[in-house]
Amino acid sequence: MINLLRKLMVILLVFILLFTSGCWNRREMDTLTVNSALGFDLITSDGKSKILLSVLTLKPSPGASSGGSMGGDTGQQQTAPGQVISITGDTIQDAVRNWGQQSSRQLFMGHTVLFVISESVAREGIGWVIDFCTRNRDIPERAMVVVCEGMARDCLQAQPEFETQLSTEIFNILTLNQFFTAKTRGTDIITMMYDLLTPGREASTAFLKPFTPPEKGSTIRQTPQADEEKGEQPQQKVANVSGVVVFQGEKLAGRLNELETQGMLFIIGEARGGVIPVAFDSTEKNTSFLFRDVNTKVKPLVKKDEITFQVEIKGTGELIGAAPETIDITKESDIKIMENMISQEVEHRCRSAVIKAQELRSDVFGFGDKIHRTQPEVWKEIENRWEEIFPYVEVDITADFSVEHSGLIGKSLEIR
Amino acid sequence: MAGIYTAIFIHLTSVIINQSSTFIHVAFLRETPLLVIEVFIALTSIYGVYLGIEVIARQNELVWPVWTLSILIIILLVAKEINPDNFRPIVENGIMPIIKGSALVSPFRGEIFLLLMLFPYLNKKQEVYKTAVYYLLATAFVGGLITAVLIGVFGDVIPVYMVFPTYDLARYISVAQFLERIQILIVVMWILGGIVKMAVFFHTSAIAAATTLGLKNYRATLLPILAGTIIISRVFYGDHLRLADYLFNIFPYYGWAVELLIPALVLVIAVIFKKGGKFLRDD
Repeated sequence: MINLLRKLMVILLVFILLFTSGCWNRREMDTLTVNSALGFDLITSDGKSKILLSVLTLKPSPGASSGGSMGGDTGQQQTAPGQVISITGDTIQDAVRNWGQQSSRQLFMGHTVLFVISESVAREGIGWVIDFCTRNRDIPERAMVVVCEGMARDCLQAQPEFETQLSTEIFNILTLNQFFTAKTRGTDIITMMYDLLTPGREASTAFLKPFTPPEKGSTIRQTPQADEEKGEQPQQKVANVSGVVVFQGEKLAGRLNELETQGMLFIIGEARGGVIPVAFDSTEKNTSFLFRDVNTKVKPLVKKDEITFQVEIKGTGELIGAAPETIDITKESDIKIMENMISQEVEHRCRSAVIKAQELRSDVFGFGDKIHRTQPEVWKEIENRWEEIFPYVEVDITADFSVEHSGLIGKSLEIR
Repeated sequence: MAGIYTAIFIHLTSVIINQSSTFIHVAFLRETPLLVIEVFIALTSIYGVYLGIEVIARQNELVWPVWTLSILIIILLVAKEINPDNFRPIVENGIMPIIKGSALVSPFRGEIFLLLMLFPYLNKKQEVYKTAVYYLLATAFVGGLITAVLIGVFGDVIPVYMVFPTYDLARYISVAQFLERIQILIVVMWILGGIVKMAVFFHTSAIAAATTLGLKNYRATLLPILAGTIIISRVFYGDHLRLADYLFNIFPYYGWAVELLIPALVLVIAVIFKKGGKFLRDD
């Protein structure tokens, strides 16, 4: 009896294995479109405001067997693997499903790395975009959210310079920037959500700007076909990042330029590397200092009717360039002067960031959050008025940078 | 009494089945009907129960290292994202929120009361208290650790909005853009752990049912119980929202009642009437 049961069980299990070897529904690769970036615009059609969702898709390579031509004509198969297709809908999800009206392949968002929000949408509020990004189970939480100049659709059509996909290029720029130049801030979905939801902290993210490069198509991907036909085609746009935009609540408040952005990154302690040029013995900036290992401490001091923040920035780095006959790194006094100048420059950048942020009434530094975390009883009193208080808080910035070494050359060259 | 408890066990089991399959349904197999997931998961654990309690124990022994390793891996990989600032301010709104929060999870700890049902099967009855305390400490520690990591990584606000925060934690792991998308670990843990837990509950309900009906072998009750649990889970907790409502609003009170109050009352009554251990065991 048991043996028979056991045999029956085995047969049953084998059958179950045969029939459950996957998901309920098939979602094969050749029925999907993999997209790597999404752009969000608002347009008006028939007097109604609608969402224009621009999808940067990965086109199947010509070599691979493709089920059907993807929207475009077959002649374009030779071009870059990315293609922008836009769809409209009342909500984002509506637009995503409307995709099925014009494409034979379902959208698969598991490889989205970039969300581009146009400036005008960002001024209206980005809450719904963040909701979409976090609610969808396919979208990776590490995807970056950026705001772009003009329409997101146009921005996504910019040509990538080195990577095959624009999205990969922007994503890599944003991830490396913190360590390389610290002049913009890549914000992923979770960080964005954190900044939006935490009281006393405003969000900031990279600003994407399409521009036409002055160099004649040197590094720009040229389509071989276009070359043959026209000989020389008009300059294609590329995209670069420039500073950050800051939000107030979910609405875009304004922009910080690159130097202000660096100051902001110093204060929030996210600057991990970058160059600070200083004018040593001259009126022009002639010496470059590369900072690394920056450590920031923010301390709120609450007195009766004023709040002061003490920001202490400590960092080390190296001298990576000097004009001839300027700095003599072997002299202790020169190093001191140099270090002072660097610290002053950093303080200056931070201060300009604070001034700009206070002008925009956007607490991107999380000063309010700092009070909340260190002195909760004070925060309870000022929480509701923080937006009015923030523009008038005092921020004391002291930077202390030290030069560790000067590369392979000691004192600066003496030309004779 | 035994009949009521049989019903309670069956109900608890159905909730667990629903929990196990809902997560898979919402986060992964959205197009697969919940019923199918439930049936397959429940069948697996029923098979374990059918083979007896030792199989459940052995299964648990197999699952345990996988589970512990997975949770360790997840916590280690996400550790660099922890921002110590997120832990402050500590006890901002006084002690009340902590008590309220504990009330929400305490019935899950209270599920250890199943041990009362397993008591007759134990060889070394003296060690049961020690084991129970270890179990309580371990679950509390693991639960606390995961919550702490969650707050460290996401802050105290974002997890409020997340339906499956630990799953999101695993999704957030990214080591040098290379080690990513290991959220499937969570699913492995979830299914493995869920099946063992379900098996224990099935076993308990089967024993309770067999005792109530005066059957010698509890195996005969397994299939009816399976059908019953799945029907209850489909009819009462048809969707995730209703399940969440139950877990947040009803389970804390209900759990306290069936796990602590009623057994304690029975014990008090037994002591008063000076009935021996046998009566207690039957309950």
